[in-house]
Amino acid sequence: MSSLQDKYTEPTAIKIANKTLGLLLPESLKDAIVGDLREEHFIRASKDFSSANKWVWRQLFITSFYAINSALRSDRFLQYVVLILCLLGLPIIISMVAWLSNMDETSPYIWNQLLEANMHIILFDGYFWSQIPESIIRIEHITMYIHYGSVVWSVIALLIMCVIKRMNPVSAHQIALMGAAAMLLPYLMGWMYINTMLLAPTDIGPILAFMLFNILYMLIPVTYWVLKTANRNIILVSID
Amino acid sequence: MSKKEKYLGEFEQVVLLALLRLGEQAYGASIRQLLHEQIKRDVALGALYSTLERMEKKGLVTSELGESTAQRGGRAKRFFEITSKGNEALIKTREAMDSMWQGISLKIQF
Repeated sequence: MSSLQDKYTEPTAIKIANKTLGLLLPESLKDAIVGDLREEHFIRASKDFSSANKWVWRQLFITSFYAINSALRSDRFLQYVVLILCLLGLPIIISMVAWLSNMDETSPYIWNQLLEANMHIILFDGYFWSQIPESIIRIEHITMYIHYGSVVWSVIALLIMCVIKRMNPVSAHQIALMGAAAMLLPYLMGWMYINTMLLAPTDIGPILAFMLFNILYMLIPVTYWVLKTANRNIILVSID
Repeated sequence: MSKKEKYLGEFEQVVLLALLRLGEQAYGASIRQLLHEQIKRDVALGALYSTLERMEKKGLVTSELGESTAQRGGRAKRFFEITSKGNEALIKTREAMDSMWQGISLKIQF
């Protein structure tokens, strides 16, 4: 066996597995899987080197799907996603509120989108972004960012999430899902209401505000909560 | 385990039984080899570890790092062991299957 060991050279597939799985999986798990691949390849290669190589390439291909799936479901990945969404979402919503509050006139296309509550589509329009700098400058009072209906909704939603957390242990992913649902539900409800009722433009404004401010108020607490829970889980796993 | 998760899936059963058979020598490659020898099933390592990870999260198995060998390029093995919860799940699943099989006789047609 030792002479076979001396002659054995690690195939390219194993070296690739070591690098790629190392990016996607924790070190200990990566070592276990790559070690298993190498161990079995060594045994197979002693009988038929060519088919052993084919076997390890096939295993690498399938295991990569598992590794990608595992990485995407990890708490670390969730932390990155939630943080990026918060860092992008906050300035976008702050800008949109400033623009809506200070809008004098706009393009017919954007006006129609607003009347249909399609604020998510307006984000892809260059004209909207060209108006943002001026809108930000024209912010006079911070009170324009206070919306009592959204405060009530956000407080109730966060309280419900707290109660659920106390009754059952919840994962970071579950908190993220609950938070996303609590933030997006008013947006969806507002969108459906505006698109099913024939409302005057002056009636649409307060609904748009409700749709936006819930996200603004809940984004930071939910992000903090998810990061804290995910961090605690990551530390526990490291100790194990 | 909640009432909904009382019974194990087919592959979970097979893997837990493999852990019982292998005892202290239950790690990825040995489990894979046992499944291939016993039931002629060529299981991908990724699928195996995915199932083991899921069962570990459910508390049915535990794992710990073991020794590394030259054959593994100096990489440590990860040994798996069934827990009492896993044992209980296996027993419940077996009882359910035995109950369903009672009074049924099938003939293999060639």
